[in-house]
Amino acid sequence: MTVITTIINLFLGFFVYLRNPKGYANQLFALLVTSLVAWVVTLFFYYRISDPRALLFIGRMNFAVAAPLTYFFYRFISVFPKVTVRPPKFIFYLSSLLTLGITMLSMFTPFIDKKETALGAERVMVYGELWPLWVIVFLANLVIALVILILKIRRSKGIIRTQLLYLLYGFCLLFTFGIFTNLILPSINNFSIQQLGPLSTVFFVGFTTYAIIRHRLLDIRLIVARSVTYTILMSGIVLTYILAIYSLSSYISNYQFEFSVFLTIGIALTFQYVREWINNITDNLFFRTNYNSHILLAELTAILAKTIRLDEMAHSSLEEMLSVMHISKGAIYFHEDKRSYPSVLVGYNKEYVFGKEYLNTLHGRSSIIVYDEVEDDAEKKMMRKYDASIIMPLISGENRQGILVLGEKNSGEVYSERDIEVIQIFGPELSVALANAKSYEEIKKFNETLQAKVEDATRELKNANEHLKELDKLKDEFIAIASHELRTPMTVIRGNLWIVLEESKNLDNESKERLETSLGSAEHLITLVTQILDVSAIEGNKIKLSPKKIDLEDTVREVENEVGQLASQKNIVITNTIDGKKYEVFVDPDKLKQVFVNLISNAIKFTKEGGTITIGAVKDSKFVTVLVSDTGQGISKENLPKLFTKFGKIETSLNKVSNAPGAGLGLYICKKLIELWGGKINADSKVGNGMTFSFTIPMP
Amino acid sequence: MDNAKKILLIEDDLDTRNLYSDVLKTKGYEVDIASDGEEGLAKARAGRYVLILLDIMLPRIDGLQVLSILKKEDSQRRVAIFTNLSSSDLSEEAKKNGADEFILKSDTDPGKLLEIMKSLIE
Repeated sequence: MTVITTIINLFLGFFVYLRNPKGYANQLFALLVTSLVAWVVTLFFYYRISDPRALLFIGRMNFAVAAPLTYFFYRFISVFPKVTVRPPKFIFYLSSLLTLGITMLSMFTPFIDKKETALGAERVMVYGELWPLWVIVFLANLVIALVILILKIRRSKGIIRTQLLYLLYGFCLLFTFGIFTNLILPSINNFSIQQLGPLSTVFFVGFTTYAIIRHRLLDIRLIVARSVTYTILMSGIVLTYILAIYSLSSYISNYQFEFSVFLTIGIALTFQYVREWINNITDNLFFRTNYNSHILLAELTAILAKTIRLDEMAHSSLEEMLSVMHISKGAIYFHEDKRSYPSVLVGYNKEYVFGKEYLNTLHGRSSIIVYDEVEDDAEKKMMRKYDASIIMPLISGENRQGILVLGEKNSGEVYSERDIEVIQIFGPELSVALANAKSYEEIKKFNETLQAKVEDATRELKNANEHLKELDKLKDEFIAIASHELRTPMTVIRGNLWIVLEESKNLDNESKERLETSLGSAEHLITLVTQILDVSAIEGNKIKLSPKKIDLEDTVREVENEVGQLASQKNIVITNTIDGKKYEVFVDPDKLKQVFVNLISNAIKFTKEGGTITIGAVKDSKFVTVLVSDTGQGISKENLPKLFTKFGKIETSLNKVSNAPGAGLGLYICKKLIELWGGKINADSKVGNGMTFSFTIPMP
Repeated sequence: MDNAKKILLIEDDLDTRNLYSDVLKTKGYEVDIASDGEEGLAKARAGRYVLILLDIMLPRIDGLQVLSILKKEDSQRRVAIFTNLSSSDLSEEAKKNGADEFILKSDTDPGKLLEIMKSLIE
């Protein structure tokens, strides 16, 4: 037993020491373990040596190595894991001095251990005069250690608190076990396991070791649960095996080998199921908050895949995490860049808002921050302020999406390695999903803005259009009224001139000529007003055509009547080759007449006295082409295209040939009217060779 | 002068009224004049005219209304619209209301007017 204890303790002591040979706490721990081992070893020999001199030496050595035990414990407690409690300096000096004193006294003087006698298996010792001092120093060190330990536990939190608690548990076990084996059992005359006393040191050393090296490595409850599982399982298997063989040995002695094989196969086949069954039971007993991380991750992934809405996604996944991992509260805090999104809080107060200064310090972080492992005091303070145990930066690609903040676990336990693994796997997944959701929302918002803008623009256009329509209507009304008001006085002037010329018998030639010029100018003015009105109507698309099936001949005859007088005044002959031929056309009769009147009066204007105007027509399958030719001056080819432009009157000898007035709008109006009914107009001429206009009219 | 040559000229513009009244009188017509729609209606009802020359833009009652009333009372009355408003819509409406002719003043010098009147009366 002593050998096992020694080996285990030495092993653990070295293990801790080797993990960090320079660490003060590790060194102290190694010293502590060494004295413990020395104590155990001297105790072992103490009971096996009977030579009086040797026994006295071993006995004194036993006291000497035991003396600094509590001192080392006190020193270790002071520095592990950090110095947070600082007792007055004199305690340290006094304690060190006294401990050194009693160690020396124990080893080299009889003041502690005066005499040792061996009586068979029993040992009798005589205490020295300073024995009480030994006890006082030993206990004083222990008390100081415990006070410091308890103070430290009260002041610490998280993993440090857990570490210190393990130390306390280990000590309590040592103490309890030591009392049980060395005090209670001897008191009822049971010395049989007194020597098991040293075994209790294994508990203490074990717990302390675990406290020192614990760094999210293992969850102790998992180890306990699994150990119990396997102990039960193995005991069960062994028991089954023994019982089976024992109870059946008399019947199957001849087939023992076959039976063993059979049994082994049976156990091998059922092992897995039995193990799972017992696992479940022990998990339930020791590990109520256990969860399957694969299932959790699968469920979280499913949540991310289910929705594209940012809020819903953040909320559902956070809630799932909190409920399965038994975490008290959590928050997802979106990174604010150009747009800010509201954070999602579960369990946290609504006013829970990270300060800008903290977000700034977080900006540089890319990996998980666990409160219990944070070294930096400022950061620790900040996390405590915001009640955060875990902060996971959410980064997708190079973009920071925000942070995931988790509060304490419901159990108050620290986060286990597995918890942190889950968070580290899920974090990036969540980041990518949030990035997508954010983009989606941005696109949606953009779409909405765009739509609103389009609607605004449409409304504005509509308003503008209404306004324009109104203006257009006002303009039309103005033109109509204005032209009416212009025409009225002009018709009066013309009418009066007409009466004077008609009725006055005694006008001299000069006066008559002047009056005739005035009459011509009045006519011109009236035509001008009418034509401007026509152009305005054409360009404003105000011309309405009422096409009818008519005979071309009738229209030409009407036109001939109208312009006949004008022609005969200039002694111009109009030759009508259409007369007597039937050309049916489908056209607005008024507009057709207007075109004819325009072309023929034009021809009359530009034809010298005694000239001829010829009207003819030809037809093809769709159109009737009308030709109006004169024997006037004609124009050059390069001037032809100008004919149909607005005010496109050619400033050539033409105007000299004829003193006929004209606004230069007539041909333009003709062209537009013809095009309105789907026809075309052309002009052909050679200077001095007359002019031919041809235009087409659709047939019914 | 015989009754067959009695004309009613409904026209609000004084110069125009005087002009056409003179033109018609020189050609032997007897001319009654009215300077608004209401007066025109009253005179048309009171007298017998071979032709009524009716302007459109008139005070009180406009020419088109006068036309439709006159034609409703007696479709045999000869009424010619005589205006300076040129619009195919107007001329169509006038024809629909029973106008015997739509004469645009600016397109029609006095000689032409007399010709049209002659053809209407006969």
